[in-house]
Amino acid sequence: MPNNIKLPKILKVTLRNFSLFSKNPSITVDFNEGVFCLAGANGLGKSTFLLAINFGITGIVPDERRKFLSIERYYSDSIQFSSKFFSGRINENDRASAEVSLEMIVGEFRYNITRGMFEPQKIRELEVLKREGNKYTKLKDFSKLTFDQKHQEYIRLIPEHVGLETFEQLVFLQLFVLTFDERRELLFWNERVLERVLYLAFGINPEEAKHADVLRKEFEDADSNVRNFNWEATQLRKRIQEIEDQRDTKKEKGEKREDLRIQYSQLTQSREKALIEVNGLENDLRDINLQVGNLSAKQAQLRNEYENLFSTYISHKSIIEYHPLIATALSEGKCGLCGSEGEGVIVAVQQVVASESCPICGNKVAERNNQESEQVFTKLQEVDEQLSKLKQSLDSSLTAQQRIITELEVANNALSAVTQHLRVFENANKLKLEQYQTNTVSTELDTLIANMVNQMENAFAKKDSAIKRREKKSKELKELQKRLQRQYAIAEAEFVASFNKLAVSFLGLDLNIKMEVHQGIAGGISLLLDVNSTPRRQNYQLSESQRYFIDIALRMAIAQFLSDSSSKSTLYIDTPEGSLDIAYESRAGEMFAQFIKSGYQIVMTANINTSQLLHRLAARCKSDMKLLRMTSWTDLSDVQIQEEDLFNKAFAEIEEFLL
Amino acid sequence: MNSLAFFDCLSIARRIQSQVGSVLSSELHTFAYLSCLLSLYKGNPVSEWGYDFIGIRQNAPYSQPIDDSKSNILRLGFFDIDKEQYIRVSPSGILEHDRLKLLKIYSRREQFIEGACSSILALPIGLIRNALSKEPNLLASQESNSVKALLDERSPSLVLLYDQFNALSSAVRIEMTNLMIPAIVWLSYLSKINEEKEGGMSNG
Repeated sequence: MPNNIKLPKILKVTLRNFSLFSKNPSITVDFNEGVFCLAGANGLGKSTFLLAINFGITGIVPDERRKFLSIERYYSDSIQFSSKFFSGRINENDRASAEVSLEMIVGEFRYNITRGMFEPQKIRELEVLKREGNKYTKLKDFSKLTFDQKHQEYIRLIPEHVGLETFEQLVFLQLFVLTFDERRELLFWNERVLERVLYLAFGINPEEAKHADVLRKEFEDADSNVRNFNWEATQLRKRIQEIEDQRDTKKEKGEKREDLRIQYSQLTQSREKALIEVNGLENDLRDINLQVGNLSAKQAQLRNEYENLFSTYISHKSIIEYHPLIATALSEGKCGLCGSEGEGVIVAVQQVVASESCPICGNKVAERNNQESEQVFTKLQEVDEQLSKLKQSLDSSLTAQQRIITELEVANNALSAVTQHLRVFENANKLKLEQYQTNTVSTELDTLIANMVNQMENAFAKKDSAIKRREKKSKELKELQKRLQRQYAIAEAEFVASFNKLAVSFLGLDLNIKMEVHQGIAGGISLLLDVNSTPRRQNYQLSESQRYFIDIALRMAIAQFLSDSSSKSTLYIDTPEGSLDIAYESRAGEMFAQFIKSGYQIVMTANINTSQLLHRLAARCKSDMKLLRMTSWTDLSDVQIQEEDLFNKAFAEIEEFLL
Repeated sequence: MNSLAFFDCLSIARRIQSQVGSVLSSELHTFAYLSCLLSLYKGNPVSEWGYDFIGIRQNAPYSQPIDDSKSNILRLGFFDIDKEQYIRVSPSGILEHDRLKLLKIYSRREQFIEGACSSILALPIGLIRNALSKEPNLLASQESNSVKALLDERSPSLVLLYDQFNALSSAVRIEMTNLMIPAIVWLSYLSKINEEKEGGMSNG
């Protein structure tokens, strides 16, 4: 592949209704061989001019905020940005008519294209001429095609004529290698871009470069997926842990609440039990009181009966001689009934007593009393037996009554205690008991955790799948890398020599670059820069301006290496002076001149100043350099107008070197 | 007539008589009251005793049913009384007492009467009478300077009595069917209080 790419070489650009250049909105610039320098003051649109040329060729304006992912993605991702880029630079009335026309040579073909400034994927006019001998003939008539169709034809034809596999590859080379613009995107220090460049420059063919680009993108996608799914799974695992902790805490809280609920339930049950006990004992007491009352009444009745019987029993015990009337008569000799006195009274009464007959009615007292007394005593025994049994019952009832009273007192105390305990518990735990939803919360969290575990497992499964895919792509990439290494080894001497010649002319130091293959699964290939045999991997090891020119040297070397000798490419460099000191400015001019002298073209912009770069370039290139002053294209600022003599003077100085 | 007081009179008189030969009427009241107190000591309610007492002069207990029973017994010839008013149970009285003891209503009381009357085996009757006069209910009756029913269940003196009985029960510790020992211990306690009081007064 090396040395057979026919990159576009610009011949002429025409901007129409390009409002930014207010004094000259429709301009045509013819490019010479060698170096074309558009010189202008700050803010006049020099960079925009270069962007317009590249937009004409590619339909793309680089978006410095967009990260490069792959050659294909870069093109597709940049279309929308490109379609709007010129909005602020072109008046609204000129939107439809503003366009850029290009004439350019691509190997043996000449392209004339016109593109609307807001139409990245349309071609308004397309003419492709093929050189046959000394004249060009139309390859095909595209005039009847729509803008879209012309675009499709263009993106189909031009990569083929350039010698690339895809239009996107051309866009990539044009914007990332052949153009050093305001983005200051440095190849040396952007491994992702540089690897694509190396495949395009040193690979076996553009198809393989495309494959490498796709593979690298797929590898990175897979790698990204690995990390994303790993992150997702890890986050899920972390979240699951958090929720599990939360659930456990809630469970714990729930368990505490459950404990409370159990306690509450136990207390309630205890109170109910105590209440039932009290109610039961109160009922028992009422029953036993009634029973005691009945038995007591019966006892009283029987006792009364007994007392009556006892009185009867005793009355039958009456002994005539102990009767007070008889006793008085016997002891005092005086009749208590008739009042008679004397010994006769005593004798008469003693006879009556001895006869055991009643002195009044004459009945036999002792015999009758003995019989009746026995009968009454028998009744007394019966009643006594009844009283005894009744007493036993009453004693039993009274014992039961006392027991019940005691038990009721204990039960009432227990009820009071448990009621008090329950009230205290309710007051202390009212809110917690109301919030009792443990089971529901736990179930919901368990379900959530189960879902998240499922998601986590899916993420891990996707991660594993991505790892396998990444490994597969890595393996394929490493195969390509080996082939690239072999190709580079073959081309190394020529390429490195070309770079050295350019870089040494600028930096004045021995420089070397070598291909470096990165280890690890990601692999990758980049170029390592040696300055005085000291590897300089990191960009901070050179000054910013030095890095710019080393990078420009690399682009020049790549362009030289890529380009077919019959179709040497154009490099587009936007105001490269930077902050170099005058020594390095001069050296940079020398490096540019070398590139030009080897047959290549530079289209560049520069501020009109006393830069040694332009002086040296002009002095070295002479007629191979064209200096176009753009101060007349648009309105200058007040400062610029006031100091226009300085511009004139500086411009004159440069022109002097051209003579 | 109160059959219980009738029986108690016979029973007390017979027991005292067996120890000291005869009994005075006032001693019937004293030992009836002491018997009643022993019934309370054994946990029986006041009402179960069957008749009431009141406090009279010199802190002596008096029961109308006892007095009535004594008269009836005398009339029936079961008591013999001499000119000094000493009472003895007649042979017919002894027979009647033995007969009445067959009835359960009386047999239950025998243990209390036995306990009360047995105290004279260890203590002089005079000491017993004096000690009993310091029983809380009798003491309260005297302090109130009015005739008052003894052993009123609403009286705070009864609470004091029960406190003494609880202390007595704890001191005696063992459950006894013979109530003589607790009777003697309690009477001795009351007597000691009496002595301390009298000693204090004389010292003062």
